[in-house]
Amino acid sequence: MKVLRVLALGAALLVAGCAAYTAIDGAKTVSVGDNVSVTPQIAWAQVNNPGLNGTVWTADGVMLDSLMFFTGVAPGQPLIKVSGTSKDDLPRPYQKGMVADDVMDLLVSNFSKIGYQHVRTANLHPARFGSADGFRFEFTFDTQEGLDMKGTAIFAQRGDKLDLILFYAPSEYYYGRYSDIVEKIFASIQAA
Amino acid sequence: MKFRALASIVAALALCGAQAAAVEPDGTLPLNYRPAPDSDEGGLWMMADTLEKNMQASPLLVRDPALNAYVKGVMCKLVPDRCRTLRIYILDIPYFNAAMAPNGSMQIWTGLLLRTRNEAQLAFVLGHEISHYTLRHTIAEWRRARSTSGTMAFLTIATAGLAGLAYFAALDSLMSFSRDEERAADMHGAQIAADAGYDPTQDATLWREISAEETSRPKRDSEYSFTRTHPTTAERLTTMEKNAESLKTGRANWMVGQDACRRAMQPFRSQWLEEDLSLGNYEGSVTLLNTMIADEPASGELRYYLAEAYRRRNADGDSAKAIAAYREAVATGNAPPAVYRGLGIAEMKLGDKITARDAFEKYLAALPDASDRTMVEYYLTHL
Repeated sequence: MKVLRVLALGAALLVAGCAAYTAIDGAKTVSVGDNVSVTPQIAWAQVNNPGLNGTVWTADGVMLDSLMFFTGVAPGQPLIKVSGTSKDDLPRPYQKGMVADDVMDLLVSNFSKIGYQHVRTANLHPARFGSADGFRFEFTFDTQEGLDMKGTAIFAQRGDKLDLILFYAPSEYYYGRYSDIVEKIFASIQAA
Repeated sequence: MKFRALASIVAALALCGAQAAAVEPDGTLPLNYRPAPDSDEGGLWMMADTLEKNMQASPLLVRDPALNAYVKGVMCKLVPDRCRTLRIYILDIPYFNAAMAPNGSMQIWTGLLLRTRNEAQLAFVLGHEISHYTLRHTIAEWRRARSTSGTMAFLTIATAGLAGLAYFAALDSLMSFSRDEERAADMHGAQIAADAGYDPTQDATLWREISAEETSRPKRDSEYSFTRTHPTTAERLTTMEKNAESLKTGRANWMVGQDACRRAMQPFRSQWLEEDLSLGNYEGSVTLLNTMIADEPASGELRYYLAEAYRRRNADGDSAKAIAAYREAVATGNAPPAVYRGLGIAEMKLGDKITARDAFEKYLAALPDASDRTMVEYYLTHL
């Protein structure tokens, strides 16, 4: 039955059934941590999800779209927190000295850890993260229920820390619905 | 409507007692057997039919005709008289698993096909699962579970209409058999595989390798593990080996079928290895790949993925291990071009700029239109 408990982790990230929500104003530039700020473009609901080492915004609900901010991730920290498990059972952490490919692989192993299937990445390339050097890549995966998801990510390594922002949604309809808005959000990144 | 249907099933199961089915002289299920619809077994088969429909519609279903024909062909060698009635569904899930439903539909996950290194090993797994069906273990488990809360969980999951890993893993968890039933399936399965001419020693060989891979990983309660429902105990392995000795007498030529199996799996192996690495169970991947390399030392593909496992694990000393494995892959002369990309990254992390530059340039020369060309050029300019 342990299989069931863990497979529920991925669902918990999506569902966040009893999570508290905070309204995000689309027009005001907001800090998302580690001296990183963005302009939200549209109204979002911020989900306070204790399972993440970051922040989640959603427009239509986390089952349908998620914009995640992992900022100031220090070496030794994973992206996703799994409580009640042994040290060996934790998702792989961010590590000092990781290069861009390693960061992309880190997301793959963290997503696989929570039961997402067929996590695949593509098109890793340099990109500006505000005024800092950063990278972009795309990814796809299947949820445990078999739903095809599509996503895009931008990240930078500043000092010893990682700032990673990613968006994903069902590849059918929902990803395309918000992709232009997400591009504008990525372009609005300010990293002091 | 779904609730009403469920309620009807529960009511039917509560009313119907256990019903004895006629069996073949060897104690197995008759050919073309179908239980009476108003029996408890009939209800169980109805749920298995729902599961089968979900498998047929699942995006995880591997539909490749050649691969399906190969796996089914091995099954038909084992039980030619049941070849038309048993159905196999290959699901693209990167864990080691196979499961037989009571209605004669079997699911096999690609993680199992990746790990069966010859046809004999696949035959012994299929024989084991077929035996659960012919010995009617599922109905026995069902009757035991009926008085527990597991009944409702089974009903809920079996009729959920989902198509992903959660569905199949949950069903697998609920459909586990007793130790005695597993032992009986081992013995009966080995017998039918040996009767078909497959080398009986390959049964224990496979299980030793699966056990070695499992124990090489840090203990992770949260991940799917086939050996939780199929514990590879020393007693089980000893019994398998003794049984193999006994089966081996009276025959000289045994079939292993390494080449046929490799030919069937080769078109998918790179994809399955990528999926295995994506799980982040790098310790297990290293063990698996070293086992596969022992069989195929000249495979540049396998040595490349071993190097990738070290590079992605990224523990102390792993860059050096990755570099050694990348170089061994290059030496085979048949490694994929990505070997130079990985080598460049590993050398770059260790600070050897000249070797890293050489590797990246070889990658771009081999794949001038690589989709990640700008990334590699970035690495080159930032060495």
